Amino acid sequence: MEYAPTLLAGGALFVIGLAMVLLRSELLFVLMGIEVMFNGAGLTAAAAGQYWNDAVGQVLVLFLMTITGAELAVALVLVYLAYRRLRATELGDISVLRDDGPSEEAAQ
Amino acid sequence: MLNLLIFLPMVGGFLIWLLLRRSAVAARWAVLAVALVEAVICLKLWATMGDGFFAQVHAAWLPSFGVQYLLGMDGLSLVLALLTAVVTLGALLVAWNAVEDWAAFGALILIAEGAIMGVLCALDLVLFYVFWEVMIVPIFFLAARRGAEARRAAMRFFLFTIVGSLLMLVSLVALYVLHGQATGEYTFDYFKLLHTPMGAHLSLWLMLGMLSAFAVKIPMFPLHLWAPDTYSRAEAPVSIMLAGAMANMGAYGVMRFCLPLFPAGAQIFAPWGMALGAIGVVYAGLLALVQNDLKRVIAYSSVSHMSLVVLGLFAWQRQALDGAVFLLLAHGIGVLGLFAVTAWIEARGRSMDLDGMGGWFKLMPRMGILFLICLLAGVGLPGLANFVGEFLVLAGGVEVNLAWSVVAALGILVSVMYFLRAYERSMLGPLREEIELRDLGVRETFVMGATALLLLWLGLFPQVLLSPVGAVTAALAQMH
Amino acid sequence: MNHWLWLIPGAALIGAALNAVFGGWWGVRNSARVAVLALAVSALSVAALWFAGAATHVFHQTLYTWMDSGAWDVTVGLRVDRVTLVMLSVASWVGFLIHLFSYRFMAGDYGERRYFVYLNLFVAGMLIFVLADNLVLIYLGWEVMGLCSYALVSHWYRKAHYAWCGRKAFVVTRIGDTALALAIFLIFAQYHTVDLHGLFTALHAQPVDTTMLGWIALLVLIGAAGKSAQLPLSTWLPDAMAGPSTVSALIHAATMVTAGVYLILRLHPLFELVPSMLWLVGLVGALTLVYAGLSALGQYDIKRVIAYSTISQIGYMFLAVGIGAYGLALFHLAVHACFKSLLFMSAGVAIEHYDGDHDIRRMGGLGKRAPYLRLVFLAGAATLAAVPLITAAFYSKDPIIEAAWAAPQGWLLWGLAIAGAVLTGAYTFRLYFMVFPGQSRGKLKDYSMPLSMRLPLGILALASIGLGFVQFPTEWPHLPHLFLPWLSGELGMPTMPHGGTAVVLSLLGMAAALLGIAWGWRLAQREIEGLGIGRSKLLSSGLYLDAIYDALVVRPSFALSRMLRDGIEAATFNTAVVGSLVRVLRVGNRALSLTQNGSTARYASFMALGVVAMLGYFLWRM
Repeated sequence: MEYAPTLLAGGALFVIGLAMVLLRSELLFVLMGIEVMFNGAGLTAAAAGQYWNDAVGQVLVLFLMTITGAELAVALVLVYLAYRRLRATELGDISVLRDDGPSEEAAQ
Repeated sequence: MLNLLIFLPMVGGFLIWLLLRRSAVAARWAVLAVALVEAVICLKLWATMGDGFFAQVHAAWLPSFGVQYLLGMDGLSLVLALLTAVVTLGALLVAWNAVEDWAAFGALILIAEGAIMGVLCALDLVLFYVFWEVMIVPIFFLAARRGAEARRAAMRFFLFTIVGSLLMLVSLVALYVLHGQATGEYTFDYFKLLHTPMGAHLSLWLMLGMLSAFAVKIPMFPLHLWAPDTYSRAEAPVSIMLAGAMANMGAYGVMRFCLPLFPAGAQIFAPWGMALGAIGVVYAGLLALVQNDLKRVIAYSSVSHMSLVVLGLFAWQRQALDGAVFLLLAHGIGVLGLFAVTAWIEARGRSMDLDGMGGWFKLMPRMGILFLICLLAGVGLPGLANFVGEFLVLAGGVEVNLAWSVVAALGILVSVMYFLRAYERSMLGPLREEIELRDLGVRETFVMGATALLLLWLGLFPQVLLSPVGAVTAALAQMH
Repeated sequence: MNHWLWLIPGAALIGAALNAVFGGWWGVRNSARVAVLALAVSALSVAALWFAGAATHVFHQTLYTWMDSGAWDVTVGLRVDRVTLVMLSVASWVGFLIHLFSYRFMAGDYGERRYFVYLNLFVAGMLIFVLADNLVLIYLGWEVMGLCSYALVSHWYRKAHYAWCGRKAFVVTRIGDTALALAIFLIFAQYHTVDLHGLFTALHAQPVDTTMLGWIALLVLIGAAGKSAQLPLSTWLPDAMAGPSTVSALIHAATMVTAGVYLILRLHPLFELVPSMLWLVGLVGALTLVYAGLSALGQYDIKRVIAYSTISQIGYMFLAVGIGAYGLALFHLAVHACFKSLLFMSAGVAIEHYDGDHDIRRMGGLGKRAPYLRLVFLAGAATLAAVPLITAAFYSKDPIIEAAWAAPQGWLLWGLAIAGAVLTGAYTFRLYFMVFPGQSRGKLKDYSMPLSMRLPLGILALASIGLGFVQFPTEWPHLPHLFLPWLSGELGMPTMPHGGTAVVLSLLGMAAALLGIAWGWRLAQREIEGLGIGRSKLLSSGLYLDAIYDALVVRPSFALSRMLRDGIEAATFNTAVVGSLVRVLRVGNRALSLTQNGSTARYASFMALGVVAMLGYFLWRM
């Protein structure tokens, strides 16, 4: 069996997902990108399981799907809350972690 | 027993903070009860004391890295644990009415106490390091409690401490690697690391790395810079914990780790250490002479006394080591009394400015007398506790290095100058203004009276605490 | 009796402790009673010691181990030999008489209870000092005395100047104390013992290291000079007169200031190994006695005159020790304790008569108003001036002057001592003639002395006159020679000049005293006319010694402290060290905070880059 196309497909999915995460600014698209990356990883795992003739690959995929489901639920809630609390639909709107350098109080 | 000693106050403090945030009164009593139990545990340990390291606790922790959970206590750590318990009790009683949020305050004090006990008992270097860092955190928050000035001072303390700690960590890891390479056994076990072979120069650098953490805590000249500010800006009970309990850990670290782990390096450094100690005694003493803030006078006097401890440690000789440990005890109790006086003055709504005082003996004779006793202990009056420590340190020091010991002996002179100046300006002379100050109440008298009695008792019968220490110092002196 | 030695200092100590703790409860007057009673117990214990045979036997009691650290093994041990016994008797009995006197003298004072606590504590310290069998315990007594001196000098603390005087007394004597402490350390470093007996054994067992012993002896001398107010540390004693007169009588006349003499007496085996240092002791004494005599001439404050005379008389004791006449030093010490405490207490009463005024220019005419006081004061003054044949000081001081002739460079020591004798007569009787005869120049009021005040004064007056008759000069036949031969076992006999020299010296000594008294009368007349010697700033300021110290020591040390505070601590350390530390951290913080721009995409790309880098590294390593 030829594994190269499968692996290539998995890698392509991962890169596409990553590109979505990095380049898109809407929260929902970033979320979708993450899902795509997960799928790429899952596909690779399944193919690798076949290659080694091992069931772990498939177990991993099943496990991944469960986790993804749970993660998606939490992530969607977060996106919803971000919209509710911060009125934000884009990543650029959320920059609470920005550090403006030392405050004057800590100066001495 | 040692587990209880360490974790009772930690867990107790945490629970009090969780459960008793609503009621300051309940929290206060609970904190006091925990501290009392802690003191009882210490006394019990004293009663059951054995030779060498007793009451050892041993468990695996991270066996793959050679890290274990190893606790033990000997005469040295025992007397310092006793002191810590007493000083903590004193600090709590001083804070009694001065603090509002008792749940947080008490919890922090208790956690600090537990960590200090952990530092005293840990015989695994990683475990020691963990307790060491845990100790700093509550102390930082305590010191930073009162306003921007205090926060700034505490920040400076934290900076000094962190830098020192990191250097200590480097030394610890280096020692671990060295020992592993030499023997094939990678371990943080104190006893196994004791005889790690290494070159004198390497030993010196590693010793300095560890010392930098301890020197900051002591505080040793010229790393004392954080101390006067932090002591004088923090609340009195916090200053008591800082100077009376935590500073001792620096000296303990030198005795437990710096000298025995790196004998060759310590040997090279010893004359320098004595020199720094001697200079610190006189330097801090002279600075105390020209302070106009009572708390700063006390703070610099504390630095001066701790410098004498440094001299004793690096004299590395039987009498000097005994004296250094005893001076820690005397200094801890004395500082409790002195900072307590500042707390009483603050409780009466007066500032620490010496120019605003004068003639208060007339209004507060009881405080005047008890204050004087604490000062006289600091002056090194025979019959009070400090004298035993000072005399032993200097007697041992003269035998090792005459010149620096003579310089340090000038501290005897300077101490009487700054303390009596402060006393005269606050308590004696005519009343500057018509004010009413009530004399000490029951609780205040109890704290001051107990302090004075302890100082007197230790001064007249120092043997009770000198003999447990003697075995440790004798062995240590022999390494020199 | 061996087991009861502790009671001698213990009784006074218990008295102090009881009054300190319960004094508030049982009231001020009872505190005074307890204090007097405690001293009575001490004094009676000393008397019992005589009857128990201490005059011939050595008593010793070890109470407990004080500090035990390797070779540093210090016990609380008390030892009584003959020297101790003399000193004990002086300290406890004179102390008791002064306590008795204070009972009424201090009644109604605002710090009465405090006064009696410290007074008891002081006597306890002195007795411990005298009894101690090791150097550390000696130091304890030494320092406790210093503390009580501080507290009692600044007894009337509400006057800022008095508080300052007490501090000065403590700080200046502390200079000496530091030297003494160093001497103890050196002795320990050298001989590994602090026990007196052990030290003397070791001194003879080891070869003599003259340099080291010289330093030790010098340090002990500085310590003794500090406590005994000898040059160059004499400046505190005149200011210590700020305390009540009874305090001056007890501490600054009879007991504490003579502690220095006693200390050197105790350590005389050590001093004898370095004769040059012993001679230096004598020289210090000789110079001090002239210096203090001159200064006393220029004083107007009645107590300062007596204070300077104390310095001068202790100078004689130092001189005696320095020339090896230890027995005479001790003899003069005992005599001096009697007449000087008498003079101080009488002066205290005189000051009461003049309503608290110390200035002798405004006194005069007290003799008629208070004949008893005049009588006892005259007894004291005559003894101080060493009126020949009838006073005790003639038998204790004049032999010292004579013996000085026989010492190395005896002409120098003798010359200073005889000059001092003239000065002594002069300042003493200048004082007497200005206070007692003639008409009052100030406000004179009545002050009635009860028996409890008259009795101590009377006893001390009798002792001042009569104590000399136990030890006539050795060459006088058929008269008692009890004191020096009795002590000779411990202190040896002084070397005296012989034959014609001795007679000439003796006659010169008598002449000096009488000449001094005559001069004193003349000086008093001049003072009353307003042309007196006291107008000389040089003399009244004690040869500018205070000013010199102020300029050379006090100001520079405060200037140095201020320089350290503002220059080193603030500028260098805090700004440079801490500042640069903070600056480094701030720059680092600013650099790193550029990465924290809050943009999630940036964070994510950093993560991705990191993963790629790690993967690349591992691939490359494979």
